[in-house]
Amino acid sequence: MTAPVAGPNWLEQVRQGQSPERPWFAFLCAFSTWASLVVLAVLLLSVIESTFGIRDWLRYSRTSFPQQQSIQIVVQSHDKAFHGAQVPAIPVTVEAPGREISATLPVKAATAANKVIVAQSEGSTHLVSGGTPDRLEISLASRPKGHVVVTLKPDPLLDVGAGFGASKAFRFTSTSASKIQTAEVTAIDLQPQSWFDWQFISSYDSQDARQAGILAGILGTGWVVALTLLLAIPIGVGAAVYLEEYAVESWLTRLIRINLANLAGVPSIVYGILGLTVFVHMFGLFSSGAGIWWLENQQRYLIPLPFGPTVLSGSLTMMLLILPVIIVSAQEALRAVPPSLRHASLALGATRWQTIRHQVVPAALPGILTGVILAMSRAIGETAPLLMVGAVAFVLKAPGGIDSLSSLVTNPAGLVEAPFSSFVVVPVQIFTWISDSQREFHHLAAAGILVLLALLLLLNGVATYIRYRFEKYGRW
Amino acid sequence: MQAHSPSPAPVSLQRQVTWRSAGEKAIELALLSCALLSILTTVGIIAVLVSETILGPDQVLGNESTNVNGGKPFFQSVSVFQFFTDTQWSPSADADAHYGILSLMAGTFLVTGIAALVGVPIGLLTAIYLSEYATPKTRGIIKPVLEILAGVPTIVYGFFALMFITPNVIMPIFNGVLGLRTESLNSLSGGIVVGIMIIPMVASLSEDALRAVPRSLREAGYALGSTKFDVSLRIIVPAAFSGIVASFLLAVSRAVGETMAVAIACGNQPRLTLNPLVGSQTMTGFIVSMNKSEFEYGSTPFRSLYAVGLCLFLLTLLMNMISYQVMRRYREVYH
Repeated sequence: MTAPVAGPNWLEQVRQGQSPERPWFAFLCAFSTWASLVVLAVLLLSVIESTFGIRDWLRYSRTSFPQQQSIQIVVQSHDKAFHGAQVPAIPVTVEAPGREISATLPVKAATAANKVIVAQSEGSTHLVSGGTPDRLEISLASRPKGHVVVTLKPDPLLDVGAGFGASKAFRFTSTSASKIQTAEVTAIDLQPQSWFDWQFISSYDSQDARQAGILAGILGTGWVVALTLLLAIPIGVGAAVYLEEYAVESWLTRLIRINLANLAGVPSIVYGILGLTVFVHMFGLFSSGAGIWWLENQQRYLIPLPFGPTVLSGSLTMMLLILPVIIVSAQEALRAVPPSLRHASLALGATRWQTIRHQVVPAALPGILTGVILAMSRAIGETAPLLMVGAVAFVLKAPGGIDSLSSLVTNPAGLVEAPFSSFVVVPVQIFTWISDSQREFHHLAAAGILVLLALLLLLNGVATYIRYRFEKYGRW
Repeated sequence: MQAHSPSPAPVSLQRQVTWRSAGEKAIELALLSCALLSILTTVGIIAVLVSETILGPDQVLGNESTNVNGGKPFFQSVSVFQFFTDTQWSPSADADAHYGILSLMAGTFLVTGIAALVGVPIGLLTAIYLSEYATPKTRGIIKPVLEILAGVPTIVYGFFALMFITPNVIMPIFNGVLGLRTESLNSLSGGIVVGIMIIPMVASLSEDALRAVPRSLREAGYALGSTKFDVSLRIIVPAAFSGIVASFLLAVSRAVGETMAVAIACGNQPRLTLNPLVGSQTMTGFIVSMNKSEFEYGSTPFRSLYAVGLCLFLLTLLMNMISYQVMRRYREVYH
């Protein structure tokens, strides 16, 4: 018997029975794995919490609203004359449903960059919020996360430049600021409110968080995704058919394959740069007035050159982005079709194209469809390239003016105009809301995310169902 | 019904060009052009990035006069040396504009490093668990969860970082317990969510690599009396090492190119720092911030985005190519 070959150190321990099972490692692995489940759950919960204001609800269902409140009203002005203005005390009446709270606030006028604290009660430390023209936000120190919307009734003595609600700038002049004497505060909304409702789905964006909705984003996403798929499916499937059915192994096909693998790894923002240069600006080749098809009655071109930040630019960019996804998945689906099917068809006298058109592609359709849906969900969630291409944040109009099915009939020309109109998509809208300094818009962003996730979940469900059917009832 | 008798047509050995065969050829060419579009995309990306930074499209096309800045490409306005050595990045400062990509790269590497620290170990442990420990039932639960995690749009992770991780995890620990100055926009939260984002990628690619290790190796290990720990960590992982490394590289390249989550969570202040508790700006974050800026198309600050894009493209391309090569070599071992 030969002497055993000297193995690594640990192997010696195994041989001598000195390598015990290490349960901590198994635990560590299991822990890491389940951690991702926990993270997913926490992510969803945080979105839902923010959308429906659950934290506020939990807080106020248990505690009663205290009588004494610290209130701080902040007026934000872009007017430089407002800086350093001395403001006298403002008695503020806060009305809460079923509760009576009133306080006279001593003044602690302080100047920040362009903020002046008009009135501040003692001991209040929380939340300094910017004001919009017709609404000031105050927040109560014992309720740091909740929002209390306060409507300030304009006092006759309160000279506010262009007036409440009329102008965007809340203007004080240094002289008029001293005239502020009273401000009646009414209508505190104590109920935690859901930001996700029909109003949110059916309205356009607004300066006022309570009026704002995601309709422009939904319509924009619909147009961009539809046009993207219209362009990408024929090209993607065509490319896959070529690579699988026609191509013979050569340097060209090898190049295409390596190229596809690399394209899948290119960051999406780089596609955004490509779209920005090629579609939006067209290398700066055209002066801004150029175009094709002059519309006499509207005094503009139907197809502007360069395309500019339009639905079409977004779709073309997105098409380039999802092409590799569609090609690779379609290739896999075509590869799964057994050769016997092709041979049978060819033996019956069908040409190559007839075989592909009537046998191979229909057989591979479920697989192709799954890939298309996955690509679609990628296109829906993608933000950066469309932001680069210039999806505008503040859109108050549906692409082409088509906001309902009936306007398809009354305004059929809108169908042609839609690809050349400015747009916003759901994720870009969410991004703008997250970046907004008003905290109310963050709740809106959460509601938008809920819409986005619901859409993606639906699509993934369809994809899973198709895959399941394919696996169950597949003929081979 | 007609009988299907072979028609007595004269047999020609030459290939006939008929309408049908011409049509077939046309279809083939059309399909080939579809396939070539993918190459055109790559060419387009390289052409755009290179022309705006090095060649100068307006000079090539001869429309210098119509463009601001005489159509000068970026690297004619800013020297390459300055680009890579300047420590400041401030394109919006009119008179005193600095273009030093180091401060953007610092942000990118910081976020990527944190992401790798979070995502790579968890992803690898998940892969080992799925491949060696888990029952089929557990796999059936975990796999879809990982797929969902991979499919969540990055903007959602940005929201998660800014609205949940920073106020509820980072602030209490670093600002509350440790008493460190923490900004509400910080690289740490961005790094953590990007790390979460790459977990599914590391896990599924590494698991493929682990499963590709032949069964005989496992069985030999067990036959020698090894425990599951010995087999997974001392046989399977070393055997699949190149595949695992490839998955790490792909994931890191994804983290480098990640945009929205980072743009939201890390802020937009370029800083040459390695402090993860303050805000920073990454290369991708800078590019996306340019969409809000007022710079004219073709001006030097605007063109700086192409220079950053070129660096980003080359960086990710390099990592993808390396991992592609590693993966190819690894495949040759067992198949």
